[in-house]
Amino acid sequence: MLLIYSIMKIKIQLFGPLTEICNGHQIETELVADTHTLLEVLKKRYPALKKSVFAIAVNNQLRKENTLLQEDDTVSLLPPFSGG
Amino acid sequence: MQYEENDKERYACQLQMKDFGSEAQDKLKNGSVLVIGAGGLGCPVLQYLAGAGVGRIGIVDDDHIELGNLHRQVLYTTEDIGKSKTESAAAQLRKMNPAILIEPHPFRITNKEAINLLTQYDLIIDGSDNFATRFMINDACALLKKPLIFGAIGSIEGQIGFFNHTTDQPSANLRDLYPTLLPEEAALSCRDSGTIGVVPGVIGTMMAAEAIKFFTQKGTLLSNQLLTYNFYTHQTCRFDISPSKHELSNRPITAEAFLQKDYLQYISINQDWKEISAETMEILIEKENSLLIDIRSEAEYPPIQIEPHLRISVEDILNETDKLKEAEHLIVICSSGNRSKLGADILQKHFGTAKKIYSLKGGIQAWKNKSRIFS
Repeated sequence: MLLIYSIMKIKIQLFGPLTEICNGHQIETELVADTHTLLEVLKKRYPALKKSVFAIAVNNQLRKENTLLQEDDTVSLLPPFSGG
Repeated sequence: MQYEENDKERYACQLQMKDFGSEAQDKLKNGSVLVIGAGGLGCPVLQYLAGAGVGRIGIVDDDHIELGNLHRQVLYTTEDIGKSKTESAAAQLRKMNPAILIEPHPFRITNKEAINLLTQYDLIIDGSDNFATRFMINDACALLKKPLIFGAIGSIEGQIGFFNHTTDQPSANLRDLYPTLLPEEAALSCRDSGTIGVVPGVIGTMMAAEAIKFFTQKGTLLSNQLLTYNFYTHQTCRFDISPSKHELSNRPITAEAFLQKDYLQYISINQDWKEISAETMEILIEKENSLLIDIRSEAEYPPIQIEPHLRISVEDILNETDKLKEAEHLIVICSSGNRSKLGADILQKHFGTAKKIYSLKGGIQAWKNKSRIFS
């Protein structure tokens, strides 16, 4: 009997210098409970994120507080730009 | 309002647009906008708003044009190098549309001037190039409930948003995205990370589009949203920003507190003189009113072959200011570009804003590598 395990995932969308830190514009990770936990996981995986400043959006809504995550959510990390 | 024949012809394509017409054109004519920064973003903003016929356009910038600006700051030419950006932009825009009023403000805007200046305009467009100015303008606009179009770029990406669109509802602002004033290292500037001219071109044009929709009350604005753009993929993303009470604790909520806020804590501004590249210098020294000041000691080699030039040591520079009277552009050079900074500092303190002062980056060593003069 063939068992197919489906792991619940979320997408992470990256901008600006964060694409270099995380090696891509979009990465996937296993579903975690909330945005705080996600950041802990990401900072462990990409230590340079610890020094980065960014705003967080879940499904294109900016979130200032810890937000619960669901399967297939897209979390965006938005660094500030100052150039003109 | 009756249109003069000239205006009818100038704005013919806009006037014949469905749902636009003379009513929308009048709104543009009666509108006023202050554009902060006449650089990569400011140039397309200014060009399209002057072209469209916005009646009064203010331009704030304290910078002078450099060779390295021209690839993206498309209002300026090689002949403009060394000139004030606001004055050059104003001259160009007046040629483009003599029917509108252009008001140059050739200084660096700080919280001391902001409230007085911003209240004179209906709409503020931030195309500046540093966080200190961006947070200060954001806080002033939030305090005054002044509509603000925010735009910024970094390498191949850009961001744009519209804050304080209406005064009757709470609005989001930059502090909802980034609560505290950021040091410049938190983002890479154009100089550090590089960019290609079309990136500020696209974002600046979007900012101008927002301004036209705001004045004419057409279409939908990016109110309380952040739109991002990627040059390589053309991908755009939109993010909704909810106004929150938390941001209030981070920004001054009275005019007195705003005036006392130290926005410049992360940058030094006591440097009015400019550090220029060898290429920019070669263009500047072609100008009749420029003078090269070589502050190396007598023994240092090779001698400069370009006339006019003066060889004065740093110690003697203030004893010889009579010889500098005629020149408008003073270019200080030394061997490696360090002593010339000191020379530029001394001259700046002496002459204030009466002269434009430059220091050659990397000194004669850098110049030698890039010039035919020494070959």
